[in-house]
Amino acid sequence: MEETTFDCDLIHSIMKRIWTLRTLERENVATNDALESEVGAGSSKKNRTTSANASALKLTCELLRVFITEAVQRAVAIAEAEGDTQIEATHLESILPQLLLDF
Amino acid sequence: MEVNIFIARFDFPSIRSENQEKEMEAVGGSGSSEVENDLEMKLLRDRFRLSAISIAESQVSKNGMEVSKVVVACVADLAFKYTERLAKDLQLFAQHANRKSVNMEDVILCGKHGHITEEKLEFLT
Repeated sequence: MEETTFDCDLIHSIMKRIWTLRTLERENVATNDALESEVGAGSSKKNRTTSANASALKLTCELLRVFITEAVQRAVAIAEAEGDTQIEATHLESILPQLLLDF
Repeated sequence: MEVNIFIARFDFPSIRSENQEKEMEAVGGSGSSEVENDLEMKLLRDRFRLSAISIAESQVSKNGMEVSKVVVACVADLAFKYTERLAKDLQLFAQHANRKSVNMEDVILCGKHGHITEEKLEFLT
């Protein structure tokens, strides 16, 4: 049974990007306080970028896939209840609050 | 509220570029590296959107229905925003446990936020 899902490497690179951006922000704050012009990468423990476990990555891919699946299935349910064959923006609007609260 | 922002952003590309410019001005710092990060992030975001759209469309076709382009684009965008939030939360959880790498437990904690029941979590692991 074929099933499309997210590419683990893609998710991993996105996460690493966000993590490096966050550590850079924290570095900027730290250097402004300490009056240092440059901070060597990995010089202090707090400035090393976070990484992800292999199975954690797979779980994250699955979690994101479930997010999209939930959104689509709930919208489909609303659309079927209204008797439409195409999912429109109004259907998405009605499921949006509960979806955002659930995730 | 977040909901209104998402609903209003059906023509999201133009709105987001404005917000990004404002954010970059506010952060300041070295201008060129900010732009570089932004470009690469845009690339990753587009790739993410493509896979999100393919997943969504395969799900819709399973139910024998059709979906409008706006809805699919919106779902992909929502998924990306969720990914960003997830990344930040995962980093915080790992840091709280004095770890440098994100673990299965961190992901499970993020999943427990909402409606995901014990059964689904077991199935996922």
